[in-house]
Amino acid sequence: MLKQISRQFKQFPVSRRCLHGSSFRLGATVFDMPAMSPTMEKGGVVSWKIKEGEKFSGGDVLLEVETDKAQIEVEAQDDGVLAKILVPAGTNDIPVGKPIAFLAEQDDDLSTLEYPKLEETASKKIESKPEKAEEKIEPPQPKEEKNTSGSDSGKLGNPKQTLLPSVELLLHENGLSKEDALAKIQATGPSGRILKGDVLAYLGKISPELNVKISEYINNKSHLDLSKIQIRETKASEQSPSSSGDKPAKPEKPAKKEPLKIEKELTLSQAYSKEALQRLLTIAEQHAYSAKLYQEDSEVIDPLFEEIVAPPRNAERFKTQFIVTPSDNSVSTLKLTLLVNESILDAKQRAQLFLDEVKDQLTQDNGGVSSSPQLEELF
Amino acid sequence: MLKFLSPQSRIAARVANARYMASASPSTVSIDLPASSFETYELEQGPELQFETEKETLLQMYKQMVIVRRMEMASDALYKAKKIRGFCHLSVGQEAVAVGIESAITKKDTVITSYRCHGFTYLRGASVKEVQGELMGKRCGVSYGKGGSMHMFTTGFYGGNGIVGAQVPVGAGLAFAHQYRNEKNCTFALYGDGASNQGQVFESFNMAKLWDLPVIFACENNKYGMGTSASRSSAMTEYYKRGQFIPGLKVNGMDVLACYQASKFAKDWTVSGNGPLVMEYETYRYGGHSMSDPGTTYRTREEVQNMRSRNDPIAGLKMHLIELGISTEEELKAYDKEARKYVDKQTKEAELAPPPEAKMDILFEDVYVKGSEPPVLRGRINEDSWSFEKNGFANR
Repeated sequence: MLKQISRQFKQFPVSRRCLHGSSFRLGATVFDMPAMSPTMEKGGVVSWKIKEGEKFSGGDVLLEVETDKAQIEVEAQDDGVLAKILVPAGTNDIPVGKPIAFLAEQDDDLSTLEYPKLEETASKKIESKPEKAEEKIEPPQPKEEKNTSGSDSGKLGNPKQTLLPSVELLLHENGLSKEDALAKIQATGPSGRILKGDVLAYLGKISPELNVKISEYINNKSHLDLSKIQIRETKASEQSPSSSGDKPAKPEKPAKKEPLKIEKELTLSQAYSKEALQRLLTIAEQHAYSAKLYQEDSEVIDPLFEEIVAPPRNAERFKTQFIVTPSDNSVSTLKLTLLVNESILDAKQRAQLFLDEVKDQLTQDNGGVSSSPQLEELF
Repeated sequence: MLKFLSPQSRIAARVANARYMASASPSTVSIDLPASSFETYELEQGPELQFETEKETLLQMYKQMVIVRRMEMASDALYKAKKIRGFCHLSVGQEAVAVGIESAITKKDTVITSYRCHGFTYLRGASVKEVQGELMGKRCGVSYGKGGSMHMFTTGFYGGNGIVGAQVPVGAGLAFAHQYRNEKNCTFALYGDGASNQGQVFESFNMAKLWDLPVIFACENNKYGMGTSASRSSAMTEYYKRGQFIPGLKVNGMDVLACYQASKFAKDWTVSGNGPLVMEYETYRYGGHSMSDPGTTYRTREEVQNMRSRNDPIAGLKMHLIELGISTEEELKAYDKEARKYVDKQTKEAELAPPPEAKMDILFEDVYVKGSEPPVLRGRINEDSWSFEKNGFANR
């Protein structure tokens, strides 16, 4: 059988002429970090599914790549061997185009394989070059628009225009050529365009003032009139410190507003450890934050709506500081200082709730708390 | 038939073939296709299962398929290196259809296809460098770097078309041109299984049958549209019966010999005045629909691997070539390597080639065939009108 085949071969010289012997070999090919989506700039190697030196065939999963959006399995396009892994699994932020492995053909001998030299920055250079070239391109020079764009009433038509169909018809009906029209008719359209009205005025069918009026009206209304807008003056008090400063040119930021400070003194009839007090305050704070500020059983109020319009739940409304000062005998005083962030709508309300809560807690524990009346007036 | 026989009977078949060949001319071989290669609809006589063909044709088909696959793989790598941007639809796995058709027709016949067009462009005469240059937007590209993946044209090839199904009526028009000029040529208008539900496809069917145009409506059924299997998108998946009043022929699109024989039959049938023919090439794509589709969300990886290992058109022809004694395994392997080298070289050249210059006359140069342009190409506004006589804007 073999003889038969080889004899057929001699009869078919084409096959030998076109086909090489397998004497030449290709070295290992570089496998670069693939861009698995058009927006991917960097990616991570989650895991290699093929080990070093292991064979794979086309369609097999080589590795799993983590992109900006998802984890994607990268398939082999062709049969081959994973000759060498350059980037181990778990590496993140590998730029697209960076070599991550060497691949070879299945029958290549890995021990004698030639590895191409890696040009670390090659891919980056190629990418950055065209950008620089783009910068060099001169910005398009602004055309002298003034000459053409103004719709002066006393001007003749722009000779480069294509006549409007209505104008062309009208000229034709009255036996006028395009040249005539351009030489004689006053154009009131944009960019020196001859309008139907212009031809009618030229023919004496309407008064020319009408056209001028219309074109002026359009001219006035075609852009937003900002001339009447006055810029609000900044307050004198805010400006004065900045003007006296060393750098008058740089506008200083308006002085930071002091947060609202609420102080309250509560007497403790019982001795509390610091931790216990802290716990008590934390519970009070939790209550204050989670309390619903609207009537729950009302028909007009929709809780869902209230939730949506309320400031974020976890936004910090106030900061709490407390000092315990031992006064007479066994009675000590708890001094609470709240710094309220007024930029949050319900901060003040919740701070008040917090103080009430603390008071309640202490009352429950003690059966009585007195607070200094002057400070209570603050609220 | 060879494929499905046991080793012993294969040898017997080979001996039989050798005996058969002794009587035929030495440069030809006899091919026996399995009976499952074709299915017909309203056709009295389908293509012959046994036929003779030149050995060189078979070898040529093999080379073409390998180069097309290599080229598509190189495109895949370039896309993942961000050197090709935008749309890119690859035909890895579907090479047999393009190569089978190309081998069966002449350069005077015309082909038009969908956006999965890189292989056809190469087969119709463009070089790998021209195709890759086009994909990367280089001046050396087949459309001078201004078309990209979906817009490649060459002599006798009227393009990929970016609109799903829009190439089908254009193909009917090409066939009309053949008929009008009394040419004995035909048109292959290809579309995918996804496009086969487009209205304009059926409009083309109607007109082609009405005028008996020499057009082959060839549905490349790769079983999945853009993320949807054919059975989920089509009420009837027997695409070769979609012509209703047009005869149909279904071909195993994973066997290049079957594709070749069927395409040859289709050409003969249409040019002898029988009117159009609807064909279905049942094939499979290994990759995703486009580069942005991983291709494994609507089908299993096992299914793809199964197709790759059992039905690959290149491996199939390779087996035939060895069994028929046309070539040896080593020779084919060497050819694979050479194809890879050739594609790599052409791709590298395309990569280093310059993009088109940012000039206005380059922008407008290909709107009309040279010599057929009007004096002025009217623009969106008056100032945008382009004068071919002045080689500049008409009114600026």
